[in-house]
Amino acid sequence: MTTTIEAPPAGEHRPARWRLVPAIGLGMLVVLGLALSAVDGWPANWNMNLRNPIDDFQSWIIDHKTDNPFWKFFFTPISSFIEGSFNTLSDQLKLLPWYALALIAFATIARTRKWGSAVVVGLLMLFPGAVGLWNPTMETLALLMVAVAICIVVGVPLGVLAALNHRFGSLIRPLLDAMQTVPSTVYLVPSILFFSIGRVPAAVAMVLFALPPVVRLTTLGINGVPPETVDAGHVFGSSRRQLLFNVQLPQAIPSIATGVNQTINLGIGIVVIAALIGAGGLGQEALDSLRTRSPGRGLVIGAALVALAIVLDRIARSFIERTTPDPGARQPRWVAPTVIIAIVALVIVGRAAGWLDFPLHWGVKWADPFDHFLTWARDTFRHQIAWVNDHFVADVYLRLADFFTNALAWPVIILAGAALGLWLKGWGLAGFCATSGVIIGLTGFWTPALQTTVQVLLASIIATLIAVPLGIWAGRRPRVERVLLPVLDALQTVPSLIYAIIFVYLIGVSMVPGGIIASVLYAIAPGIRVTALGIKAVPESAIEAATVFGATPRQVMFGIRIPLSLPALIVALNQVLLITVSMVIIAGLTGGGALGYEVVDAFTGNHVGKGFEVAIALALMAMMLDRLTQAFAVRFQPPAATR
Amino acid sequence: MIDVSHVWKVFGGGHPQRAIQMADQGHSRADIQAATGSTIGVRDVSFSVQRGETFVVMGLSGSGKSTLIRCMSRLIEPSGGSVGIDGVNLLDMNDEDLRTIRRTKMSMVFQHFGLFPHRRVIDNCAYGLEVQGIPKAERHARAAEMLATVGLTEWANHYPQQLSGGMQQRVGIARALVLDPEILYFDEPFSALDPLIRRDMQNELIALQARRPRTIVFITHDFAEALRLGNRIAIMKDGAIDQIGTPEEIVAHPATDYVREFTTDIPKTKVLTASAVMRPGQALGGRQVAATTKVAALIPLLFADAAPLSVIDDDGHVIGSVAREDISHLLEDEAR
Repeated sequence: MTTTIEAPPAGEHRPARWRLVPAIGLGMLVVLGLALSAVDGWPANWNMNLRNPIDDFQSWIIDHKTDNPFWKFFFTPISSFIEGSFNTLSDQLKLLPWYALALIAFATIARTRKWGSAVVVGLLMLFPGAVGLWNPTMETLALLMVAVAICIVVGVPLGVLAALNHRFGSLIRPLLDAMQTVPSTVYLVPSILFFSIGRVPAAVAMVLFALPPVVRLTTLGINGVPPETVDAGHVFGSSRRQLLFNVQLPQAIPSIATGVNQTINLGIGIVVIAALIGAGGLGQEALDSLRTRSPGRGLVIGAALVALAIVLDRIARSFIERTTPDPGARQPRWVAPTVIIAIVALVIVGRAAGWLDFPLHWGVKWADPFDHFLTWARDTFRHQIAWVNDHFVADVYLRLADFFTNALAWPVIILAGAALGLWLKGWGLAGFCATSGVIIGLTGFWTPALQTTVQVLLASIIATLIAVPLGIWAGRRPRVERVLLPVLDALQTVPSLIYAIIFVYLIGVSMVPGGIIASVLYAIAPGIRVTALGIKAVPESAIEAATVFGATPRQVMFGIRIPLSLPALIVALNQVLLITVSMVIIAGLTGGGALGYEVVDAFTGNHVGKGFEVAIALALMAMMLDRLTQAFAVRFQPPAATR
Repeated sequence: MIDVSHVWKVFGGGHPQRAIQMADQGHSRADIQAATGSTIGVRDVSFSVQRGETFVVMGLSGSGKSTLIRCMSRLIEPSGGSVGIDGVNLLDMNDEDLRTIRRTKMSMVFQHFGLFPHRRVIDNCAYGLEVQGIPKAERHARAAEMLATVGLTEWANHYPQQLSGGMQQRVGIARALVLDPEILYFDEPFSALDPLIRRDMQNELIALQARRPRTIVFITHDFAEALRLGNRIAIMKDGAIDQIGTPEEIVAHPATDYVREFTTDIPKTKVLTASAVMRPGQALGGRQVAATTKVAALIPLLFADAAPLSVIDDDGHVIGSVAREDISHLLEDEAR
């Protein structure tokens, strides 16, 4: 039997030649722009003046909170519900005997028979109390619990709906994408407009920011249920309800639990900046230690937050593992009730006896030596630090920022962005970039946005230069990866503001501590991770083939591994960029100026209208960077299998 | 029992009827896809299955056999035709009736077992009873009984993924049998198993059928399996049926070159019977053999004695004769 194999059309993954034209055009535009440098910055009267109507709206809300039905029957009940649950929860948590949560955490993990992990988690739960941060930690925990509960109650049904109804699914997918691209700062703005300042808007911002993973992973879990089991469910005559509750949801639970875990992590990530709008708790403590320049205390606060994050993460993971049945780990029926009764009894006894205060106290002892060390380092290396900082700011950052804001005319920048979009993907992306650029200009924050872009690019370049080689190394050597992973975990769980607090103490107020160092430290972790994953995902057969044909290790690296993992490297760049954009507010808190300063000013001065303008600029920047890098990654993807 | 009549399944595209029309006019799959964006999954398939018969649908991947069985159980909605179960068209039923017939009359065994990983073996087995609202004690008792017949009593409280592939499929079969259905659909049930286990399972299925015959539609891509299990076999290609017949008819008289390709590697002496190779007519003396005797069993007789054999039917009438030269071409084929 002979068959002729027809080649399918080669496909469009390589850009058509005409798309190179814009690239050449781009070069010409840059030259033209330099010549046009007579054009000043964005025209001052081209402003959509968004802040006035929004500020007016805010005053209107304040005046009509009690009589407008929308507030009376919608926002106010939500607000009082959140407020009420938060107060009850945090009061109850504070009334627990000091060992109660540690016991519960221990018992939860112990169900999976990971005794070591259970002990560590129990001890970690004691840490915030031991360093004298029990009450703020409980406030943060209560806020997180309220926000995560809302995320689950809202997110799981949405996710189920998106999985079962494809039209709804395709409707909310781009929305979820956008929600996850936008930096968390942006969510604070509408929250304070509708819910004023305090725990409630903080919880609302947390919900908005942390909701997407629950929805997404519920959908993923339901769609990932093996189709044969769904068929089996049908064949045995299940009704739709029975199918959902007996077959689909139970099998989706590990995925949903993963989503909840991610949601908790996102929630913890926003704890510090949510304190800017009144979240209180550990976030407020962190902001205070920035204001009082106490890096040691900042570090202890960061450690308490990390401890809380690890405890919650391990508890969520224990539920993910738990739902993958393994009868080897089944315990006799009496164990669970007995343990629960024992814990409840211990809690009641402790509460009756009033064992609320921690028996140990080593808070300050930890902070002081660290402060002493930093003071010593600052004084000893004062000149070196100042030299590096001043040169970086004056010779790198300010020159670049000046080039973008003064030497290049604004139309050139917008056209260049559009050309890049056209080259990478097509007219859609080009249009998106151009429109976004114009809208950013119209918000009145053209120059700060450009300065922020320069900071973001600088931090991203530095982070990528560190992350990619380390990621390649870790991807090649499992032992390196094993050592590196816990470090990366730690880097990513420490609230980014803590880095900024430490380096502000060392360097002083400038764009370097927050805008560069904290951003880089925060962004390298995912950068390394994604790079290592990409390197590891290179098929072994390709490497064996290259080796058989006599390629040297160098040729294998540069001819096979790197080209094949290029899309992953670009995804790493994408992650780094998005994280540095989310750090803009941290930079603003520590002297980075630009958009970060403007947004902090909007929060502290309660200028909601201005906050909206900056948030729009920030959101559009993030979305542009995201789409451009995604398009970039797609272009380097080898064509997908067509048969 | 089951009457499949002019069943079509068209995937994709907005106008299945147009695709069906084009297919009727003899356009190829590729042409139809280009013109309408639709793919023809099942193309005008008709056959009927007798009560208690094992009907095998054999085809390679992409031939539409899995789609066909999903149309017959209405897991996917056919684009045209009818599937009669005891004279009632399954495709006309509303959800409620469909559910009822699924709960009482038909059941299915899946290629990758389709077991629920979050339920213990016993609860998997009892699922069909559970959705009907049968109390736990009763459904567990019935499920345990079924597990005993497939030899898995000790595994009742394990989770399916802890069992080997063969054991998992036994659970799948037990789960289907719990309902005591008249109709059993098998969607390549043994393809995921290794060859030795596959053989065991085939034997068990044959034994099960001998004990209490059910109406079985069995999908496979393995021609040898089709020959072993099927009372009749339908061979599918490109969504349509190339030939329907008993194993012997198909091996002896392949209708198309496509069917012939499957039969070339089959040891024909083990499939064909005396009636297929005999010369009809009078006896020429010699020993008598039954018409249903496999050719392989004739060989020693023919070589023990040069005289041709007389072939007799069920009633003992002589209906023809077989001589050495009548089977020589079969032996040559096999020696090749």
